[in-house]
Amino acid sequence: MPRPNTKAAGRLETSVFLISNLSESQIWRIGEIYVAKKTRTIHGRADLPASAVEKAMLTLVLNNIPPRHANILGWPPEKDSQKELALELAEKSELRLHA
Amino acid sequence: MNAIALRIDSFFSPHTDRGISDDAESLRTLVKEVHKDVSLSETLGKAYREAIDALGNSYKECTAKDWDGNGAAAATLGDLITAERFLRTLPTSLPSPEISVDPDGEFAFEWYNDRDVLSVSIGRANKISYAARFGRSRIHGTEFFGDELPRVIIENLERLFA
Repeated sequence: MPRPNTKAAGRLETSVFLISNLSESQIWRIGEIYVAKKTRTIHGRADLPASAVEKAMLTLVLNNIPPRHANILGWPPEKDSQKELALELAEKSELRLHA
Repeated sequence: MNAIALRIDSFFSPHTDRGISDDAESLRTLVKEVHKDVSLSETLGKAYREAIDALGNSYKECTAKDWDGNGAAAATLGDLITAERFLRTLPTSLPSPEISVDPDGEFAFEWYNDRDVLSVSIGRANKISYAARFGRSRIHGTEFFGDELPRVIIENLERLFA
């Protein structure tokens, strides 16, 4: 589900990282540094093809803050419509559990 | 294919709880007694107890602002109370839902079968936001959560577990 970015006039966005051409250890390392931030535990991740974002009529925008970070934008304002798109993206995602 | 008879009626929520007569008070007492008996029942109460535990655990993990490290809003006590009331209105024969907290602090309940899913979020001001996938069919909408489970939620639960 998206969240409002208070630093961007409440723009609805979902934070993701681009993982193409990275090894498993490199991908988990990104999660540990930038998501868990050494204070939480990563249990898993969802791998989503970029094409699925486009097919859901959303937009993937790379900002590299931090490196490889991107945002999924274009979410509708109504929560039920957001849910519908979130289910569509979840259907196209693959769950990877952290060892 | 699963065939589960879905009970529409729920032990946990009388149609109205606003009566002030002696009869209304007697009915409330009776409902509480039935509720207590059902929640202690190994069969009928197990799913309910599991869901209540999951609700409480989710709340504990999400009471602080930025609980996900990405600016998520905290779940409030009001959110928890409304979510628990929603749980109590669910048919007793349902499997336990997956319970989580959305980035806006609202509680979300999800049910799955082999290929379909129903997701329901319970918001402030008693607003329900839902979405579902049934094969290639997609539905979504909003409902007001009053004394009872909205008919459209019941219908979609029936469709999921029929």
